[in-house]
Amino acid sequence: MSAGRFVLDLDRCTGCAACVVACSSENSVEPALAWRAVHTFNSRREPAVPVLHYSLACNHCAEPACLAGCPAAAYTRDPSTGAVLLDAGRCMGCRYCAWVCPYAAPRFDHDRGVMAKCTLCAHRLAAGRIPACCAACPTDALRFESLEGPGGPARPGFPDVGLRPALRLAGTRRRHPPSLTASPPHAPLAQPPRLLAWRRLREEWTLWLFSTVMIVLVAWFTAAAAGGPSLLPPVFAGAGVAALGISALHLGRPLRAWRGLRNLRSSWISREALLSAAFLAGATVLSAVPGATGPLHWATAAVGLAALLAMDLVYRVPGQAVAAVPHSAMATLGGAWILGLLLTAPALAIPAAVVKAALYGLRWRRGVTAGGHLAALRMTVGLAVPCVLLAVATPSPWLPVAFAVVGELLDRAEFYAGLRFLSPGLQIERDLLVLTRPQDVDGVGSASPRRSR
Amino acid sequence: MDGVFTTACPRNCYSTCGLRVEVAGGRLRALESHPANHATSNGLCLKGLSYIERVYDPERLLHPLERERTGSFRRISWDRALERIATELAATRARRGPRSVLFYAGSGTKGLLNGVAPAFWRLFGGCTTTYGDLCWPAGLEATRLSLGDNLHSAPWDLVNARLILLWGKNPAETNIHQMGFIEQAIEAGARLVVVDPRRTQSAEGAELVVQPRPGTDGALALGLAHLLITAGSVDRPFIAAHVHGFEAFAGLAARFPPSRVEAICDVPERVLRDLAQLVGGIAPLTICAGFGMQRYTNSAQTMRALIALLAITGNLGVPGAGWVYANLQSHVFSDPKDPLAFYPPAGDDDPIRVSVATARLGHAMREQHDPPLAVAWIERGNPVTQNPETPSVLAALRDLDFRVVTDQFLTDTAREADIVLPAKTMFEQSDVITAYWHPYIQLKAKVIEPPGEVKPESEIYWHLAHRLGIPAGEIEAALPAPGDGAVEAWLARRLGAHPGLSLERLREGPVPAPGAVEVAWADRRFPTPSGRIELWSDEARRRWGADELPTWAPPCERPGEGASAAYPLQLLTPNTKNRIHSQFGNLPSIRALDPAPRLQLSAVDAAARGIVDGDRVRVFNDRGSLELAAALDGSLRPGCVVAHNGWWLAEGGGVNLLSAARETDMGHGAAFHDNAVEVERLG
Repeated sequence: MSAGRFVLDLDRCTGCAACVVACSSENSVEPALAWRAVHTFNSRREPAVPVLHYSLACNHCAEPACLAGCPAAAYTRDPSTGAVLLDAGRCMGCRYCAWVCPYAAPRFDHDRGVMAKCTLCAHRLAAGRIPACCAACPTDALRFESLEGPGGPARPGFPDVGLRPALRLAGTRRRHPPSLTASPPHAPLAQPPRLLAWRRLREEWTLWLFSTVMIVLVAWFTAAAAGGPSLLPPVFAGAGVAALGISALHLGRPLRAWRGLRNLRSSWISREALLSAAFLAGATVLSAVPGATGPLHWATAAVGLAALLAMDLVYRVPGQAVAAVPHSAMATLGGAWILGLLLTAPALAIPAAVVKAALYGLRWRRGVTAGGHLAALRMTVGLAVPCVLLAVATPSPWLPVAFAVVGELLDRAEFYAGLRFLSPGLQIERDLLVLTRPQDVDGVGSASPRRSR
Repeated sequence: MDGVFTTACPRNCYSTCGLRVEVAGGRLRALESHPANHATSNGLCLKGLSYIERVYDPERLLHPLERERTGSFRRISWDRALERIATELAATRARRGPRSVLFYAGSGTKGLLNGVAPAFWRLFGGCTTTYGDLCWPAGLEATRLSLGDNLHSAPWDLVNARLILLWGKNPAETNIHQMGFIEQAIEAGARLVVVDPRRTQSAEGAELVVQPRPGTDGALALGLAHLLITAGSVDRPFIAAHVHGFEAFAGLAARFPPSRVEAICDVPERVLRDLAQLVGGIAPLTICAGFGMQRYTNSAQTMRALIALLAITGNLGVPGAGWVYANLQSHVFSDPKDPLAFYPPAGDDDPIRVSVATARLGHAMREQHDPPLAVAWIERGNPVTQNPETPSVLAALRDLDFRVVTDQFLTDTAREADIVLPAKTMFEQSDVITAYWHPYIQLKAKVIEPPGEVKPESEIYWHLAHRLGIPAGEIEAALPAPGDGAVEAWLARRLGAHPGLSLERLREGPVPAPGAVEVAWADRRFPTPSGRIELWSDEARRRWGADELPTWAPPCERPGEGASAAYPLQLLTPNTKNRIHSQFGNLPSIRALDPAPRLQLSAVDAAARGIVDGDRVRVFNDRGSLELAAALDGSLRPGCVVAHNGWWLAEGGGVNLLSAARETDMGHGAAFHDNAVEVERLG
């Protein structure tokens, strides 16, 4: 089924990037969106660690996370070459494949609003030629072989989350760095990976708003069904439509949003989209029809809660910097918390608040919250104040909910700012930190980097 | 003209790759390495692969430009450009004589057709031009004095070496194809040692990186020689038969005991002894010497000391052994041969006055008298960023009345011009090129028509000669007429003098130069005055006033000492894989990989100055200053800072803002690596 796989000889690769330019030239790819990149392990040349270059494009994995996770079913496997191919005509530009690919292979083309990636030079394979990157390599480090089998031993800086990439890492000599005569000991330059970056929230603000609105709407509908504050149909419907609209803005091609339902079989985004749309439609219709709470209401509420669960599971990606589930900003947890407040039900609200506080504290310790004033605000305004208001029984449950929503917005903002999915860069930062710790200075051979699975 | 054609890359680069280029619809479609060039058949470098981008880059100059009073450029017709140039040239010649015109050519493009330029200037009545070279003449002269000629074994002979010393050379960035042969040698059991203040990419496969204080390599070599001699690890029969001046050399080496070498070079005595054991114990040994360490004021002597290590251990003339510096076996068309070609003529009876030292271009231009310079014609070069002491070069250019620059892009030098003429690329006119690493002669074929209004230089000269009223017969005798037929006939005449060379053969693929040998010096015939390898050279004294022996003297700028007391850091300005000097950096695919100039500095020096990774820093000395982003390096020798050369001033680079205009001790090279600086954090 497979035409072959890449071989990268780490002894021979000098990181020259001829493969990168050859790829862009062959496939008419803009250099800024190159399908292949060289990721350098130890680019600052820590004396105790070798320098390794990983020239990586799509590895056409045997178990491709992109293909499984793509909600638009834009990925397929070419039966003749085994290549994992992306059909740009089907891509809606949600960028989820870039999240789940640990090799940073899919690249987002802002101008066209879709992803693009390596095709294994299918056109060359069809003509009996190897991919352009391999043909160009001036040191014979990047090759193409028509074999299958294990990809070689674990290497520092190389992500491996069990996707079975069609790449064999060869070369065995570069385990130890050269002896140097003039580099006095100094504190290692490697820093712990930076986890919180607000620019990520700028990229994901649509998801931030959509998810928070969904949490509130699901809680509100469920509360109304259980005898809590009743629904205001125009407000509910307006918020639901706005939420769906905003979520479509997240896409590079918003008009293709409907394609997000194409992969219910294996994509949590597809499931989330279907469940969210079904909930909003059902809830809007039911809220407009006067009548007592019935099985339809309960079924719709269940769909809403399932949508929140799907939303959480979207973020469960192997190897990411911070475990997304469980998480203080989980949509299901937020839904339970706000539901408890709306129902003025301490039995639900207080445990939810306690769990959230505990999970938030855990994150704070791991440095994935901004800490300081923002953390204090989240804990007091978002959790403590609603609990107090719950205890003193305010005339309207909306008062504590308003505070809680502010808390949720803060928490989810930090969640999106702290989203860092596995990539060669993250793997390199992690492994370099491990290998340059003073007790591990005697080379790579002695300290095998921890693999995230 | 569609199809797949043999061609070759004419850049100033060791590899000088043989290429196959695919043309479809009159446009370049793809490039790959030519299988018949055994030195470069693995693949191309990223620069070669970016040629398609380069040819069709939207910023490429496609029309003549004229500078306006405001300093900006406007497009003009060839008619107007040629008329203005001819008028200025004729007026200057009438007023001050032809020698008031400076003809400056850099190393931007190799080819026999470059010889058309001097032919034109002779027709014009003469000109002034440069002597010396920015790149490598100290090493060439050291090799010529020692061995008699500049040649080495075929690149692939390196796989036979059992010990490889990369001394100041970083082939991973400057000669990528040599890395393949080094890897093959290591796979076959060879050992690799690197001598370099930096832990370069080439050093990753080495067992040891010796990091001497820059400018002290000569002392290191003499110290090693002393250890080899005292240990008896020298090849006495070889010395007796083929080495001149050994006893005197041994006396010199004895003045460099390990303790003194440690003090000079800052290399631990233990390492020195280990290295001597390797050099004395493992054969064959090849030393691949780079260009950087021969750009100091003491550098030809340094290079002679390195060659001496091979001479006394008998590592010359056998497979896997030797001195891999410059292999000029393919230079069969040159007369006189390098490095002699870099010297100013002894007499002054030629209409072309060779009197401007390239190494001191800015100062030397202003020192010309009788007549002083008034006009400059610059082609194939970017002296504003690449020659030492940029401020002096700019000032000298701005002093002139009129400047013409030919280039493919609006470089820092082109921005100084009154008229900029659009230059051809390698794909737009046929030529024949030689190399300085492998022995092949190659055709650089015309495969596409020049875009826009681009004209090859030979045509520009032809038209200009007619505008200047030079008799048609004289022009016809000296310059090829426009058109492919005349150019090919001109090339065929040059090739015809060499049996086995013809355009037809070169169209098939690279051809080894007539008489090229696989293993240099296998006949042990050294064309020196003594017929032996000369560790003692009378010519060194006679021609250069230097010591007959390869003595070591400190380079003239010593960071933190004497006149450089305020500048404790040594600025290294190496080349990068991403450019050939100042070429290629402007292309999107290169810029995506290397977006901005940086200053690498050791973690120790950074900490002492409160600098962290990414900080903006100022590098400065009395000559100038440069602002760059700091990049920390955990393995760089403390006391050294590194900024790649070739960045344009317009890009915030330009390392020669800081370098000094000085000549090397021999060969008229540029000693611009003698460069002490200080660094401070900005803001």
